[in-house]
Formats: sequence, structure tokens, C-alpha cells
Amino acid sequence: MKPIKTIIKTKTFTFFKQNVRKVFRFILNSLLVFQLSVYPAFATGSSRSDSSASRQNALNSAKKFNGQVRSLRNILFGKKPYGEYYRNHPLDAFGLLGQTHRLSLLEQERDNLSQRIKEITDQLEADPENTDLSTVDKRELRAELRSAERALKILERRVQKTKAIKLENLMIEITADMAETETVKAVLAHPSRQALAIEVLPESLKDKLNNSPVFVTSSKETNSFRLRFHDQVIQTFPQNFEWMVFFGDHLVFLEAPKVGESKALLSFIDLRYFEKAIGKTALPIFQIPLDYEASSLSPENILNPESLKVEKTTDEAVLKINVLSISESQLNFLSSLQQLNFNTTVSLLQGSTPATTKYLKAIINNYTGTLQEGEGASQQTIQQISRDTQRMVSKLLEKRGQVGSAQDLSGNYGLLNNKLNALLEDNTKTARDFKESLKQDQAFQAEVSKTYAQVAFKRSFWNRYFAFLNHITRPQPLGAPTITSSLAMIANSVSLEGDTVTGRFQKFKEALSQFLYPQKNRLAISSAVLVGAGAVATQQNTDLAFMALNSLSTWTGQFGELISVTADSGLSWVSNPYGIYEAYFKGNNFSYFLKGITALFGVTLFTLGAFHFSINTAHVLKNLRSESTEEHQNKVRQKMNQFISYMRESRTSFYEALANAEKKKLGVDASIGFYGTDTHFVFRTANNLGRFYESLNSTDPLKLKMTVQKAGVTTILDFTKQKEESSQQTEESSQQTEESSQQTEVDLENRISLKVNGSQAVFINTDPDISLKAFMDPETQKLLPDVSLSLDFEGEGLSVQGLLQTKEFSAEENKRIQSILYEIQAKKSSPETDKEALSETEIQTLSQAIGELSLGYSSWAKTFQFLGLSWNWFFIGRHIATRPVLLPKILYYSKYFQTSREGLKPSFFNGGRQNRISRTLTQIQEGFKNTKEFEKRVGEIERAFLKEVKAQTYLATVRESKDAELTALGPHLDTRELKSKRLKVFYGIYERELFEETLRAYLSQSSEGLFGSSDGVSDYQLKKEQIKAFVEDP
Amino acid sequence: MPDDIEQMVVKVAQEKDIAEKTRQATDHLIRGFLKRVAQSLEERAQNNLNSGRSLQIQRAEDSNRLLKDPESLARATRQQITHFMIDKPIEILFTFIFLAGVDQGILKILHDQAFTEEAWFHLGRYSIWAGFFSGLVLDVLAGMWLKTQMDSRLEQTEGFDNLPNEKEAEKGYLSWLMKQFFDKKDNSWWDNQKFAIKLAYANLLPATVNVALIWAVTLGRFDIELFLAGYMVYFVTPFMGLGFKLENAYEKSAQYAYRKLIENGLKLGGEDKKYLSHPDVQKYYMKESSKLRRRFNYGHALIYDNPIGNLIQIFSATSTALGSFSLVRIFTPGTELPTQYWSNFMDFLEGKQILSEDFAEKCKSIFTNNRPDIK
Repeated sequence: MKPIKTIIKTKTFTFFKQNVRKVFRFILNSLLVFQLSVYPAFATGSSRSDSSASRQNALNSAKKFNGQVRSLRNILFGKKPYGEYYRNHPLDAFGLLGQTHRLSLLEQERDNLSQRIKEITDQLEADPENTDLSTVDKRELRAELRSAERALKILERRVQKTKAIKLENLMIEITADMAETETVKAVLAHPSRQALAIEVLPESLKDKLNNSPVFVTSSKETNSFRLRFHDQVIQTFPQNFEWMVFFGDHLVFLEAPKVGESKALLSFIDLRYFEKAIGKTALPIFQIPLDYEASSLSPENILNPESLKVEKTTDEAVLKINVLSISESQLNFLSSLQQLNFNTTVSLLQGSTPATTKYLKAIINNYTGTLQEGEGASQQTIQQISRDTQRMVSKLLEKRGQVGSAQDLSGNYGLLNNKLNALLEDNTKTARDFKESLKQDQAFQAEVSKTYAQVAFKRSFWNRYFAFLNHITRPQPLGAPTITSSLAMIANSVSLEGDTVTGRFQKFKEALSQFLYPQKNRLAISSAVLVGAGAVATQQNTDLAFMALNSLSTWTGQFGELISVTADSGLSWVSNPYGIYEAYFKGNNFSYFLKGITALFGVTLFTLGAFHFSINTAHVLKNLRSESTEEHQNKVRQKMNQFISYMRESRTSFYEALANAEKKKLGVDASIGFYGTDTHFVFRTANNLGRFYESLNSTDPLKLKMTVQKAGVTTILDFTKQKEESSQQTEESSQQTEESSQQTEVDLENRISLKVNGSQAVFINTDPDISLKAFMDPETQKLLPDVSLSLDFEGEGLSVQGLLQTKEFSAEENKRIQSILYEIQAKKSSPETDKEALSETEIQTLSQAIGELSLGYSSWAKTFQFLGLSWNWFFIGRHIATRPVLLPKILYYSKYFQTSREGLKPSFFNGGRQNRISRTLTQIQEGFKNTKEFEKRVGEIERAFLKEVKAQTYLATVRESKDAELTALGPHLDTRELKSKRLKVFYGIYERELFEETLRAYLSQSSEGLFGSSDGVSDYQLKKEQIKAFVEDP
Repeated sequence: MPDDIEQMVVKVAQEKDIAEKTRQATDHLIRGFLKRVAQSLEERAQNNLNSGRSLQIQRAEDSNRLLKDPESLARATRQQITHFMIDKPIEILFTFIFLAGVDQGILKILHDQAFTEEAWFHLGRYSIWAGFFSGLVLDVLAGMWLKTQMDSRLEQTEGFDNLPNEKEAEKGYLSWLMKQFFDKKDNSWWDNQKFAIKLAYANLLPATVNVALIWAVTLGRFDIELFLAGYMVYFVTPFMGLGFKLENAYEKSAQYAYRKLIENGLKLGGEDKKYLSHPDVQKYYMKESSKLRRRFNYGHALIYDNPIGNLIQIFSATSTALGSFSLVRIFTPGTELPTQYWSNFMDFLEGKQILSEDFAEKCKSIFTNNRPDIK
């Protein structure tokens, strides 16, 4: 065993690990994209009308949503990558800016408190005689004084502590991009601070700043402002603003409307709420749209800073923008609304925290469950719950009625009572009926608990919902980066103008995968991203986002539950092995189990056995019938012997067939000596040999080339058949024929005989006009070492199915293999059984034969072969049945399918394009066998033609094409690649025409020429003549 | 056979002016709608029936050839016998064990009543009769065919002739098997998975016919959800490719059965190759390779096939809070089952008086017969 460390370091492990992660990510992302894109579309379709208009609306909403997300991001954080801001800021650790602002607030509070103490003290000192103040008032004043003094002490301590950090002013710099450099145009200081840091300023502004830097107006050059602490720029805001002011704890500014828009944005930063975030993270800007067209406001009224002023009333400060007044408390209220939105967003985006995930999952599950129970509309939830409850209660009551009670014995209780009485009276009653009654009772109890569970489930929905609301609305002043990250991701991924929906999804997917990678809880995060984005967008888009979140969360939850249930059910036997006993062996289960298993095995054995014995019995019967049975005294005995013999041969031939198959694979197949010419030559491979036979059988002058390849070297064997010149050799051959005439197996047209003689196959020429010659070049001689093999022909005449067999194993070789096998097998067997183990286990008895029939490999091979071939036909039939368009041709032409299946081109002459009636007539007139043989022969010829016809068709198509289309196709033309319809048709017709004409020409060629006898003769006539000619001279 | 085919074909093409005839015929065809249809049908027929052009027919031809090849037949027979002797008993055993914990729904295995809409001979119609038993029937009928299909892929790479050398023969069989399993060249998981998917995809329509027949007998309906869940799992999970890979690994390793002959000095990969064709050697090989086959099948059935198979079966048909066939519900809008849609649709047609009540019920019952979870 390799140590774990070694395994981990191996390349295989690393590769596996990387790929698993890739695959996992791919699947996860695909599922996410599916859920976030395709699924919502489907879900929308199910609840709304499935029209293209609604889909278009959904797409438009998505587009609008994307646009708003983009603008939102730009508004909040500028058109810059989010990573640019506030990551690892040097002030992060101290929060100095937060302290700066806090100091100002603390000092203000301290001053107010001191003032109040002074007032109380003055009041008490001014009235020592207690003339104006009652005792109660004095007591209250003293209590207030003590409390204020305590608070003041605390404040003093905090102020001192804060001051110790040596704070500087918080400043807003108004800046302008001047070509490549950035210039500060003005500085706006917090009103609570005295010192101003004035840098480069236009002279025109200096006075304003020195006097009361309340308002700052923007010039045309200014296009951003930034938050600054000491020498450190903390945050840059890219907004174009018309004017800016510190108002209470808010930095308020007006963003100019875009061209063609009638809305200006009154924007503000809540410095109090985001106090902790100053210097640490980004500060979000809250916005209030001011629609001056729809109100009495005019652009001049709003945009002109001259119309602005801050007034202090008795209660609070009011910001007046001409006729529009916004008080501090109103702004605080608007701020709190925005804060709620902001907090919700941040909470949802922090999906990786267990608390949020838990709440999210619970609320979604509850919500989904509720929706599923009802009709699917959120506004109907409550009504639905009510209806459901009513239904369940009525169901409950109905069950209750069925069960009855102790007083009213009409229901199941009554039945139970009767049963019990009956049991008492009659002890022979089985307990089964009793159990049935109990089951009814149990069912009742189960129904009750189920009903309560459902009611509780629905009630818990609202509890969870409020808990969830509380959770997600908790203050999150430091949450801006969470939104920044999410929005940047979304905006970057989906904001491309003019991109296709698919493209956007692709980009979204990529962005998701990047975003998800470092996160632990990927699904929760990704869903929250969308909701987060939706939450800060408009309501309709929130709906869209929620729908996506809902689908995703539901889906992931359901999938997880499915896996959990699968594991629980499937692996219960691991945690509770006793469950198996309970399931199958306890009580009546065992009898059910036995009955079931008996039926199962019975049917199984019957199915398998029926096939096996039917098939093999058919084989046996066929054999028994085919054997010529002579009169015998004991016919039964004879048949039995025949059966035993058949089974023996069956087994032997099975193994011999395997051995033959191995022989075919051997490198060198045969060596054949032609004694007539004194030339010995060797050839190999079954294919080449096959071609040789074909040529040998033809009546044409034998002239063929045989290619032999071995070890990368190609050599060619030439065989020629020519007029014999040497009569001496003929005589020699004839002599040999006579000597071994008994061994001659095949006589090829009385011209060339083949004799098998020992290890040599001898062609003997009995035709004095013909001789065989063969040549082999030296290269081939080297490749094919001198081997001595026999040639064994089976069959007769033209249908030579020659099998080349290797030389029989010599006695020495047999001995060697036997001894090895003996040695191997003897190790496993006792000396007594050695002989038996090694001996040929011949089938000699009836029981052995039946055993072989039932269980032998050879018998089962027949069964499975039959089943396999049958299924093959079923497979083909199914293929055709599911394509009914093919049927007319198959039914009309008798051999259309057969010729096609063999890879031939259906033609009239091979029967593929001869209709059934015509062919049957041909068969009747010329004989069934002759027609079949002729067609087979034509098929062989066609194969030779087809290749060349295809080549010529290709050339003709190239010539026919007027453009360069074909040049790109290369030499291996597939008509399906042809784009031109005309060329495709041309190719098809040309190939068929040429093929049929060539075949016709070949078949009808005569001494008059290639087309000698074909003109004016129909295909039908020609075929008939050819069959006749074929029968006369195959 | 003619002397010079090329010469003859060229001569015919020229003298018969095939090009001109074709040109005219092509123009005719382009103009004539019916002729065009005829040509298109011819193309389609050849694409679907010619073994050189149709993948299905090519498959049939492959099977036809391999079933008649003695070695392939022996190989497949060996696999089938072992399958029925070892795999199937283990499969039923595992089915009973894994489904013991399922006490409700379509997967429930043992029922109180012998014949109900969910049971047959007390055994669950789905889990046993439509699952195990129909699988067995298919194995009997089509097992050989499928095996030859798997072999045809490996045969193209000559993967069966794979004799271990002397060093490899000295090591254990598991080591040799693992070597074949991790062979990326001709037995990669992805190649097998692609092959399995292609095979399943090409057979999708025809297989529906089989499934419909079997379910008609065992379940009394065509179960849309079972069909969808089955293919969902087949296409998406990696198990089919893995199963094929394992099977091929065995076939590539089967010549380990010659190990002792090699150890005893026979150089079967070299000069003594001819001994492979000795009948006694083949008999010995059959015996030894069958032993290996049995060993392999035990491991395969116990460790891989049945645990995974049963969990997948539960996964694809189990019920959660969503309802029956939760896997399918997850992927359908509104978590409704497709069969329910069909049922609703029939109700709708009946409500609109397009279909009569009887006919609508019959249409429904094709998919809902014996289904307690569909109204």
C-alpha cells in the first residue's frame, strides 16, 4: 500500500481531483443557469398565460432590471471596479474617520449637556428660597442634574478618549477632471468643525467658504466629489451635482437630471447611520426622485442654489428648496426607509451565514409548501390556509364519525367492542380481525396527527416569516461591500447592451462561477445575489428576482430532500438491520415473501427454461430427423444413441469452432505448393484468400494481384493462369491425381483439381490447356517463413467455402501441450482423478447427454445465439416500424431491404428493384434457386463496379459544379455534405444511371461489343437470358 | 469479372451520355414536386436501410456477424450464463435488502394483498415485476444482442487479444484487471459513456416500444414518470459509461486465463501462438476464463452494480414531501407530474364535450391505470 501522501501527490490523483472539481462546477453552474434562466421562464408560463407576449414582457422586465441594476451600481459606486474601494485601507484598523465624526457629535452632545446643567444649576441657585419651584419640581431638577452630570462625565471621558487620537476634519472635496490631472475645485467642511483645509479654489468661491460654507455649487468642470481625511482620499463619488450641503447628519446634494428626463435626484448620505462605516467601507447614497414636471417645481427652482436655504425653526432645521421644504425629521424618516431596504439586501446577500441560510430555507420551504397547498397565488395564501383547515377539520370530523365513541357504538369503536366480545366468546377466532380493527384506530390516530401537523405547519409559516423579517432587517451599516461585490458581478455580467439573452446568460454563468468559487455555501449566495439585486431595484424586478430565488431555493431544497430520502430508504438496512427481519420475516410477511419469491422464481425459470429447451430440442429433433434411419430392431435405442452422438458432436464442435477462430488470427495461414509448376508460394489472411478463390472460380483468364502486408512492408503476389507449355509437367500432375484420387475433395469444372495430401495442398491441372503459375518476390519470402500447412476445402463447385487450416499438431506438439495442461491441472486434482481430469470427457451416456443439453455451454450458446439473432430481427423490425415511410419500398420490392442491408445498391438485376410480381414470375420461369444464385453473383459483381461508379460520379459532379463548392469536399464525398440541392440530385441520379447502365452493359456484352445485345431488350428479358446463361456457364 | 472495370465504367458513361441524361433528369426533378419527393424518399430509404449509411442497420449487421462468430458467441454466452447464475440472484437479494426500508409508495416491495393495483403475488409491481422481472426478461431476450454491441466497439480496437506478458502474468488478476480498467487508450470512461449515450439515444424510439410492451404486462400502463426518470438518470449520471468500462475491462483482461500456460513456458504472444488454436487449449481457456468471469461478476454485482442500481432506482421513483416521483416533479413546472397534465387535459376535453366520457377515461387509463397517486 502506498502512503496517503504519496497517493495525493500522484498525477492521477491531482488530475482526478481537478477534473472532479471541474465537472462539479460545470454541473453546478449549469444547474444554476438552468434554474435562474430557463426554469423561471417555465414557472412564469405555468402561472400566467403562456403567450409570446408574456414571455416578451418577462424579457423586457429582465432587460429593464438589468439596466436599473447597472445604473444603481453606477450611482452607488461609480463606473469603476468595485475592488478599487476600501479594501485593506490603511485606516481600517483604527476607524479614525468614524471617530472624527463621532467626536463632533460627542462634543455637540457634551455642549448641550453642559448647557443644560448650567441652566439647571442657574435655576436652582437663582431660587434658593424655593419660592417659584415646588418641592417636587426641585427634586426632579436635582435628579435631572445628577443624571446629566453623570452623563457628562461619561461623555467627557469619551471625548477625551476620542481626542487623544488627534483627529482632523472630515472634508468633502469637489473635484474636476482637467485633462489628465484631477483638480480640487472646492472644499466643503463639516459645519461642526472650525478649521478648513482649502486647497486650490476658484477665487469666486473663497468668500463663500470663509463666511459660511454651507452650500457649494458645482461648476461645469466639476464631475465628482470625494471624502477626504487628512491627506487620505477615502472615497470618490462620481456624481454630477448641482449643489451640496451639510444638513444635520446628512450630506445632501442634488444630482442633475439627464437630458430628456424630468427627474432630478435629491441624494443624501446618512453620516450618523453610517458613522461606523466612514473610513472603513463604502458609504451608500440614498436617493429621492424629484419629479418637477409632475409638481409645481420647476427646474430653475430646484437646480438654482440661490433658492436654497437652511432655516432653523423652534423644533428642527428645515432645508428649503424654493417652495419645497424638507425637515430633518422627514429626511431621517426617508433615510430609515432606505436603511431598511439596505439592511434587507445586505442580510440576504450574506447568504453564507448559517443564520440567514436557515431562515431563508425555512421561509422558502414554508412559503412554497403553503403555495402548493393552495392555488399558487401569494395573496390567496391566508384564504387558502383557512379553506384547507376547514377541509381538514371536516375530514377529521368525518373520520371521527366513522370511528364512533365509547357511548355511541355505531362506529369502529362499536365494531371493536363487538369483536372483543366475540373474541371472548369464541377463542378460536384469530387475532387478525382484531388487528384490522386496531389498524382502523391507528389510521384515525395517524390522520389526527397528520392534520395537526399540517395546521401547525401553516401556523409556523407566519412565525417563521416574522422571525425572518426581524433577522433580515437588523442594522447593517458596514454591509456596503457585500452589495458592491454582488452588484458588480451582476452588472458586469448582464449589462452588455445589445447582447442576446443567451449571451447574457452565458456571461452570467461565467460570472457566477467566478463569484461562487471561493464561497462555501454557493447556492445560498448565488440566490441571494439575485434577490439582493432585486431588493434594491423596483418592486416588479424584485418579484422577478424573488421568483428566481424561490425556484432555485425550492429546487435545491427538494433535490437535497430527495437525496436524503433516497439514502434514508435505501440504506436503512445499515442503520437498522433488524428492519429486514421485520420487513420479510415477521408475522404474515414471511408467508407473503415466500409466495412472492416462489412466483418470481417460478416465472423466471419458466421463461428461461422454455426458451432453452425449445430451441435445443428443435436442434436435436432436426438432427434426429435428418439422419437416415435404417430399419433397426430397437428404434428407441438407435435414436437414443443418435441423440448422445449429436450432443457429443455439439460439444466438440463448439470448442473446435473456437480453435478455428484462433487459427484465423494466426499470422500465416497457409502455404500451397503448385507441383505442376515447381513453384511453391505462401499467402495469408482470409480476405486475400477469398479473392483468390473468386478468381479461381471464374471462367476468365486468371489474373489477380494479392497484397500482403506484414511489419509495415507491403508486397504483391501475382498469380497468372496461362496456356500450359510444358506437357511434361501436365503429365506429372496427372500422375499425382491418380495416385491420390481418393483424397481429392473438390473438382473444379474438371480442369483444376485440388488434392489434399498430408501437409501440402496440391492443385492438379487436369486441363492440358491450362496451367497455374505463381511468383513470390524475395521480400515476401522473408516475411512469411517457410511453413507447411494444409488446405482444406469444404463444399463443392463454385460455392467453395474454403477454410484454411493450419497443419495438424504433430505428435510432439500434442504431447507438449498435454503435458503442460496436465501439470497445471494436476496441481488442483488428486492423483486418482488426474487421468479423469485430463481425459476427454466424452459424452457417452444418456444422462450425460441430457446434462449437456440442459447445462452445457454448447447448448446455451445455441439458445443465446437464437435469442440474439431473434432480437436482431426484432431490432430491425422496430427500426422499420418506427419509420413507416420506408415500408412501401420494402413491401413493393422483394429484395430492396436485403440488398440495402448488405451494403449493395438495389438494382433490377440483384432483385433490389424488381417488384415482387415481376420477380416471382422470373423465379417461376427460371427456377427459384437459379434466380437466387444469379442475384448473388450479380451482387458480387456489383460490389466491384460500385466503387468505380462512385469515383466516376464524383468526377462528373465536379465537372457539373459551377462553383468551388466541391473542391472543399475532398475526395471522400458524402452527398449529405453537398449544399447545392441541384448537385445533390445530380449526384444521386448520375450514380444510379451509370451503375445500372454499366451493369446492364456488362451483363449484355457480347462479341459484338460492350452493348451488343442489350439495345431494345428490356431489363426483365435481359435478366432472364442472363440467368439462363448463368445456369449454363456459372 | 471484367478485366478493367474503370475502363468499362468510363466507356459506359461516355457512350450512354449519362451526364446529359442526368442533367435533364435533374432539371426535371428540380421542377417536379412528386419526383422530388420520390428522390427524397429514396435518399431516406437508403439512409435508413443501407448498412453503409444507417447506424442502426450497421448495428444489426454487427450483431449478426458477431453472433455467428464462434469466439464472440462463446464470450457472450459466458457472460450471459454468469449473469444469470450470479448477477441475478445477487440483484434480487440486494433489491430486497435495499427496499426493506421503503414502507410506502410505488417502491414498496411486500404487500398484504396478493393482487392489487400495486402488487402481484404480494410483490410490488414496480420494484419487482416492472423492475427486476422485466429486466430479467430483457436480459434473456436482448442480453446477447447488447453484449455483441459492446463487443463490437472493443473489437474495432482489437481489444480482446490482450495477452499478459510473463511479468504481468506473475501478478494477481486484480492488478491485471485494474490495468485494463484504467486503460485510457481504448477503454476510457468518456468513450464508453458516449457510446452508451449514443446507443440509448439512437434506440430511444424503438426502446419505447419495448418498455411499453413490458409495462403493459407488468404495470398495466405506460408510466411516463418512470420513463422520464429512467432516461434522466441514464443520460445525466456517469454510471452507464462506468458499467460499460468495467465490462470491457473484464473482456480485455480475460486472456489472463492463459496465465499458467505462459508461466509454463509457452510463448503464446510469440513463437507458440499457434497453440492458441489447439482445441484442448481452448477448452482450458473457456474453463479458466469462466472462473475469472465468475470472480469478476461477484465483485461487480456486490460492489458496484446492485448497490448503485438500487439507489438509483429509489432515487428516480421515491417520494418526498412533494409527492410521488419527486425527481420528475422537481423538474416540472408547478411540481406536477406529466401524467397529471395528461389526466387534466383529458378532463378538459371531456368537459368541452370534445371527447366522450368513456373515451376520455380510456385515454386516461393508458397512463394512469393502477396509479393511486393520479386522479
